[in-house]
Amino acid sequence: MASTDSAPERIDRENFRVRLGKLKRGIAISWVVNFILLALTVEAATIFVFLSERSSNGQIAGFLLVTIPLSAAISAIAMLVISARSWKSIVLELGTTPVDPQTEKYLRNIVEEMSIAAGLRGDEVPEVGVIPNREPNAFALAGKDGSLVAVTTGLLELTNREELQGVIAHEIGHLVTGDSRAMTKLIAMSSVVGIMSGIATRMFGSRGGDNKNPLAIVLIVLSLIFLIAAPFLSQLANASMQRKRESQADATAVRLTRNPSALATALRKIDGSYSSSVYSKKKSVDQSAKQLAFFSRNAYKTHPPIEERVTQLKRMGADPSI
Amino acid sequence: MLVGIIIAVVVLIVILIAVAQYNKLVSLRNTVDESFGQIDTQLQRRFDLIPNLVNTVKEYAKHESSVFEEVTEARAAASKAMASHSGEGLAKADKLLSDATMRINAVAEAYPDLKASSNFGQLQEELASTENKVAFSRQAYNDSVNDYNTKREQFPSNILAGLFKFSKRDMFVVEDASVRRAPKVDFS
Repeated sequence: MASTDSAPERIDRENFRVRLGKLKRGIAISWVVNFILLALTVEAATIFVFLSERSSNGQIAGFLLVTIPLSAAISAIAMLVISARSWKSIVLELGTTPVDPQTEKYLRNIVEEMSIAAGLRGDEVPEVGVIPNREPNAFALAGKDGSLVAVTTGLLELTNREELQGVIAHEIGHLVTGDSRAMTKLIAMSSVVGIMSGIATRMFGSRGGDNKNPLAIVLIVLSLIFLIAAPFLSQLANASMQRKRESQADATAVRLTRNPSALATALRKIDGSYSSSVYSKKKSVDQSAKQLAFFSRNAYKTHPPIEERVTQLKRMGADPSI
Repeated sequence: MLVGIIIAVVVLIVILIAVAQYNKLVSLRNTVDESFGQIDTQLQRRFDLIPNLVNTVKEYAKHESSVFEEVTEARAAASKAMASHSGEGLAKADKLLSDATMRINAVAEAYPDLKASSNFGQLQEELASTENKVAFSRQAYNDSVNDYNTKREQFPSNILAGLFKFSKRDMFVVEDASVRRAPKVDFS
């Protein structure tokens, strides 16, 4: 048995490992960013709801001294709770549909094939789910208790076996780099930020009276501005993290399937079904599903444009005429 | 004193690096062994699938008994080859089994009733998937061998590899030219 390996491939695999290390660091940074955002949101909410406009400078200092550590502690607890939360609750929200055994077997087979290609052990093979939605889409969720790859009925109808394989390899790519696990939690954190700022901004009571301290007013106004901006900031942070990972997941998909053309045609088909506008105005699965939708075209601009991705795939050997 | 501390620190760093490199080599070697086991598992799946396939086709194509006999013989030979759990044995079994399933499929082509039956359709999907699983387990194995061999040769882990006898592993080679080559993966 001879080695069939050539030098450039070896370099690419080295490159792959380096990139993987960078991605893992990226996830850690996202955690820190999200934690800071959450802590600031809690602090802003506390200031906005509880700080009196008539407080003296000394009282403000005391207030901050007590509430800042408290906010950090509350955020840390929230993060722990989110970490312990199972992805299964998210799937329940989205609602998977039972499909006929033949289709299920077909989907499961493809997921198993890609898991083998990725070198996952038997207990690491993700579960499969089908979401009843005509929008062609797929996503992966992961947590402590395993992982799940879900596709929509629209995607099943649209793609052939090879194309579906490419799409699923892309999702498995997210799973092996740890993206899915991180994204599942980061999205949950985003929604906590959203809920918190939503509640706080509605709790504005009348605060009349004299002797207002300008510093207190500035703090309250700044808090309000931050509370309004926080949900967007949080989503922006997550989206920018996610965008960078898409081309990586595409590269992983090619490494797993050795078939860049199939993924490129799948992307083209998905793109085509959106621009045919039949689905584009329909409400998609729901907010959290949209963010998770690693294949959705306009999911908070979490994905680089299809054209860019196809060009990238052609560089990896996809048929230039796609 | 100062020189002593510097020497101690340097020695400590060298030991830490050596431990990390050694552990990396062990983990890569374990991955190679695990993925080799996966090829074994998937070949076994294909092996188990053949009687099902033969029975389904038999219902419709009773006159092709010579083909069924040959397939059964090939299966027995594959079983023997697989029992060795060696790379060459598995490669041989792989070839035998893929030829056998191809022969049955060729027979099935001639029987439209059979091709139309849902039972056969399901078997076809099962078979296609099993072929893929065999191919992908081979691919994963070769990738892991590549990672391991590269680490073995690279500095400084090559020193440890020589010291602790981490031997070179062989790729799983198939003669079939249609097996897809590894693509050039581009990250730019």
